[in-house]
This record gives sequence, structure tokens and C-alpha cells, in this order.
Amino acid sequence: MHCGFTIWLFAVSMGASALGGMLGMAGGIFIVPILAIFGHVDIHVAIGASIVSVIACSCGSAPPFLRGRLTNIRLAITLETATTLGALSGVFLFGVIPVSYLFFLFAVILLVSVQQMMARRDDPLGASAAAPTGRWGAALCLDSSYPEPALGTDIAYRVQRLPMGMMLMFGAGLISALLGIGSGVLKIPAMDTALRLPIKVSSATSNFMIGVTAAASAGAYFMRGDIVTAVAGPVAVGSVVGALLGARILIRASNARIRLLFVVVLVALAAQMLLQAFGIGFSKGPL
Amino acid sequence: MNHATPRPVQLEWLLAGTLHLGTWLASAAIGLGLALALLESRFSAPKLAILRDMRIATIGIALLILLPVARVIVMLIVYLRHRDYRFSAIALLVLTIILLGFAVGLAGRHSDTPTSPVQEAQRPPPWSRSRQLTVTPHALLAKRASSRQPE
Repeated sequence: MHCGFTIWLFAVSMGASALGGMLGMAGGIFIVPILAIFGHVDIHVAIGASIVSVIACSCGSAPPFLRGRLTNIRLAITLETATTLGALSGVFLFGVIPVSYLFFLFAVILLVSVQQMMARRDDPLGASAAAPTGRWGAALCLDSSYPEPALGTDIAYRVQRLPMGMMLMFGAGLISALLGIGSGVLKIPAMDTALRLPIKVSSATSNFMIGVTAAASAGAYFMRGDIVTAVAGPVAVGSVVGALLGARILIRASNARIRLLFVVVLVALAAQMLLQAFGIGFSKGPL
Repeated sequence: MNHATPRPVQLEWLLAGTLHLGTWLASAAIGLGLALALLESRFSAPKLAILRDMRIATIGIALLILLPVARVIVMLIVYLRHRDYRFSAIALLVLTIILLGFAVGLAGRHSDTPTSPVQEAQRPPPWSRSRQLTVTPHALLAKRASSRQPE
């Protein structure tokens, strides 16, 4: 055990997880690049540590959302069938697809998400309550409401286009398993554009689903022997602390601010992923 | 359409409690395991002690991975008790897929052929190894070297 390295891992994970929690996503998306570039940790070890931290972030920050009735549990478990199946496919593909290709693909997906976020800056609140209920949303009683402190009342919303949402969730689960990230950046746009949920509900529900999705792949990697305790341990503990801090900020912040922060982070990440895809960051990567 | 209103609120509190408790338990185990390992390495204790103490942190990581599984099991039980068989089936399906992931990992476990019986005896548990540690931090390098060397 190296004391300084352990503390560095802890501090990095705490910062990444606090930022992730504010956006309603796990910090894995920051942790993998930072560990690989600055920590000189092998990419497979970084992914293994990150997927554990993703679970820690999700579980650690879920309770306040659940008690605040922002999480749609029924929708979450329904979509989890797709995300876990995606994660399982990702486990199978893990050794087949070169990681550099995936970083490139991910950069493209991030940029598409940025474009979506920039194009539509309002919550689909009014539209959602007035819109006709989706067929599946009605059949599974997925429609719900959430408390809005600014208005002092509950706001009803409807779940639309569930099959399209399920397909996007499968993709999100796949990317989550392959890159060791929560892929909240993919889940939240999917919930915004396909299911048309209010952003607070989609953030909370996505965060809730991330833990189960990551457990499917983390379980496989753990059993396979890809998770190194000396790296994954400090990262996990740091993530729990960071997630607790981040969740508090999200519930108090306004929708517009979350969205702006979200766009800025997406652009920064896309640039980082592109650099890695072309081998600038990963000159000594094994793949 | 709103017949499920009172139930989810109870379920939400139950899940919040499960996740809260589970996260603290797992984090405490990992934290304790790491602290013990750091202390042991400070006072230059036998190498085997480091491995044993890292095992506590490893158990914590296993707990963390099992926590979402426990969360799905809680949901399954609650849905079954409320005779909501449609959502029980959905929860069961999610549970099955996750367990399938565990099975896939177990089947694909890295086979590490030992060159001597001594190495075999002192090999770290399979989950504390990594497949391709080309660029290792000092800690890992030291740990691997100590665990592979016959004493």
C-alpha cells in the first residue's frame, strides 16, 4: 500500500463524484480518464475501479432523491431490464472491441447529447402533463408526479415512447459496461427526448438505475478478477463522500443551472474522449 | 390509474433505508480494510498480513456490488406482497440478468498457471489480481512482487 497514492485516489474520486452527483450522474466518466492519464493506472484496472465507484455513487446519492419523491421506481425497474441486458452484452464485447474505437464513439455520442441539450432548453413540463399517455406508460402505471418546491404543488408527468426509451437504455447499459461509466450522460438525454420526463425526475431515476446497471457488469468483472482492491477501494470510498455532497446541491439548484453545467461538462468530456481516441492521452495503452 | 399512490411512497422509504445502510456498511468495510493495510505497511509487518487486510476491503467491494442486487430483491419482495405480479416478473427478470452477469464472469475467470507449488500457495485471491498490469502504481507492484516471491 502506498499512502500518498491512496489519498490521491480518494481525493480525485471525491471531486469527480461530487460533480457527477450534481448532474445526476455517476462520476465514473471523470474517474476513468483521470486515473489513466494522471494516475498511470492500466485502463482495465481504471475501468474496474470506476464501475465499482459508479455503484457507490448511485447507491450513496439515491436516498435523498427517493425520500424527495423525485425517483420513479416503477419506470426505473422497467428500464433496468434493458440496461442490465445491455450491460451483459457489454461484458461479452469487452475483449472484442478496441477501446480506442469506443472512446471515439463515445465522443460522438457526447457531442450529439450537447446538441440536444442546446436545442431545447425548457423542461417538457406543460407539454408532458397535457400530452396523451403513451400506450405502455398507461399499461404499466408509469405516470406519476413529483413535488416542485418553487410552486409548492406536485407536478404530474406522463411517460411517453417507452419502446424507444428501452432501446436507448440498452445502448446506455452497453456503454456503461464497456467503459466503466454510469452513462448517465446517455440515460438523461434518452429520458428527456424519448420519455419526455422533467429533468429532475430523469436525473433522479437515471441515478437510481445506474447502480443496478453497473452491478451486472461489476459482478462479472469482479468474478473474472479485473477489479483491483488497492485502486477500487479508495475510489469507492471517495465516491460515496462525493456523491453525498453532490446530491444536496442538485435538489437546491435550479433546472436552468443544471442544464448549463451539464452542457459545459459534456463539451469538455467530448474533447477529452476525442484526444484519447486518437492516442494522444494513451500513448502507453496496451490496446 | 393512480391506484398505486400510497404504496410507492412506503417502498421509496424502504429502498432509501436499504441503500443508505448498505452504502455505509460497505464503505466502512472498505475504509477499515484500507486503513488496516496502510497501518500494516507502515510498521513493516509480514507481507501476508497485508493480503489478509486487503481482504477486508475486498469484502467491502463485494458488498457494494451486491447492494443493487439486494435493492432489486427488496423490490421483488414488496411487489410480491402487494400481488403486483407484473412488476414482480419484471424485478425477477432484472435479478436474473444480473446473476447471469456474475455467472459469465465466473466462467471467464483468468486462468493463471502457477509454475511451482510455492507460488500456488501464496497466490493472492483471484479478485485481487488484474489481467494486464502494464503500468502499475507502486502499491500494486510491491504487492504483486511480495505475493509471488517464495519466502
